[in-house]
Amino acid sequence: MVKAILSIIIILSASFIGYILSYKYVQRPRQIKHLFLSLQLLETEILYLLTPLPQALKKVGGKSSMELNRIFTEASELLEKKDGFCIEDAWRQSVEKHYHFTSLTEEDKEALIDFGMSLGTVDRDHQLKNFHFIYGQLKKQQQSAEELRSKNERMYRSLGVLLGVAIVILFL
Amino acid sequence: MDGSGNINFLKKTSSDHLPRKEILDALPLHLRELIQGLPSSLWNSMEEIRLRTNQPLLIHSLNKDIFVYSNGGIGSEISKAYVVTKLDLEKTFQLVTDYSVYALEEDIKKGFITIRGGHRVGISGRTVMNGSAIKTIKDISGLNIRISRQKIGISDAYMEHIVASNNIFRNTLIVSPPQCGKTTLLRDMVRNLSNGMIKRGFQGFKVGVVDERSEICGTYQGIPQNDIGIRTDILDACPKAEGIMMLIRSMSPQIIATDEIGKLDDVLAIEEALNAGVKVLTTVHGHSLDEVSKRPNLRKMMEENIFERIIILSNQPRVGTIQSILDGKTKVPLL
Repeated sequence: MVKAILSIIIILSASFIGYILSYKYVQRPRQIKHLFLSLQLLETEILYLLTPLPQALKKVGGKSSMELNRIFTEASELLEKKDGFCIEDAWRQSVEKHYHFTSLTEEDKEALIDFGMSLGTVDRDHQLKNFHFIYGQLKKQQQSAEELRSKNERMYRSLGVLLGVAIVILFL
Repeated sequence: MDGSGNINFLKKTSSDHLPRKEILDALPLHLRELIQGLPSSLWNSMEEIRLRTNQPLLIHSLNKDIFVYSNGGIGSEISKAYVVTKLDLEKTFQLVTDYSVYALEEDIKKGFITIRGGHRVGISGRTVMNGSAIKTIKDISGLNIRISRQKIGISDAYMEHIVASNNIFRNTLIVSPPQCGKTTLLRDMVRNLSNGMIKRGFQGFKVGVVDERSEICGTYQGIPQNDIGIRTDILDACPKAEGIMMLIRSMSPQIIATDEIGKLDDVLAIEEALNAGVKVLTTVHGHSLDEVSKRPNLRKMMEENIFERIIILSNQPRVGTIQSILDGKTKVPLL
């Protein structure tokens, strides 16, 4: 009886570990999609409503998904403090600080930071180009994230379960 | 009714308002540190802060240029002066545009932007053309932060000359060389006309201001940063000739105020306004009445004697001195 319960616990926890390992692969494409949406909001604010950047970032932050909103709101706060931050630094600092709490990869982070380099400092035509550029990048990233997900999600999950079963068999 | 309790006008209504914070906010950190420590007498008289790439940081005050030294001191020795870098200019530009060049494209085309507090920042650099029109300015090489100070009450003593006793405003022209305080005087007159002065026996007029260069009201994000009175409607950044017609059609002003007329279109619009029964308060660049009368676009208007009062300003002994007030028809000095 005890043996049976222990075996079940082992199998369950092993599959749970597998689930956790697969988690970031499931989350990343979803978050890239959210990032895409947030950036589209920012585009509207900048190109059509001509909202000043700090307010625009704050608004977008308020409407973004939980994982991403800090990236926008913190950048906005840094700029609004008027501590002499330039946009590039404020954006970089905020992205570096908060991307750890997302499932985005180093690559995604670099793309975001590059995007921040010409945010706000150029005229509307160039802003538009900048937005289209990052959209293109994000699309590619999303595709690769999707591929990784389909490969790894099932692998990690089944690996977890199988590992659990293997441990149980070994101990039996 | 001096309008001092009016919260719609940010801060500036109080006479002890210091533009210090607004100016410091527009500068990057290390420039802020240099300028922060300046003596308050200089802060009070400062007119311009000049930033030019690879040139010394200059402050213009009381018709003098003052160098700001790298150690935070001030003086007239050029060798000790802090040299402004290209990076300084770029950072300042980001701060004065509130990180939003895209939102201020129209202003940048005209060569200046207005920041919080109504101060104006002039821009020079390399212009990018689109056909025959200026598209934008890039490679910013010079910024000129012009500190705007509203001098509330400077026109009080002269109001009786421009408003007749039975509540009738007289068309008025202010003639002044540049940098003599003509806009400051105009702004204060607008405030007084709009609020009315019961003590001097006239009630408030509906005043329409066409503020082509955002100088009179200093509008920042739609809110006038200067106290320009309770009955004032503003068309900000609007070309004068069109703005005058728009105001007549839509806002039924009793007085239209505008700054620096000179173009033929402006003159025609002013005549149109007078025909519509609207009174006009305006300014023009010039050292004397003769000089103004000789300008081809203005000659006809001056010959017709449409202005009932002409105020001549000078900067002697100091900026904003009213040299004389003339009767428009007889050209007899009243003051």
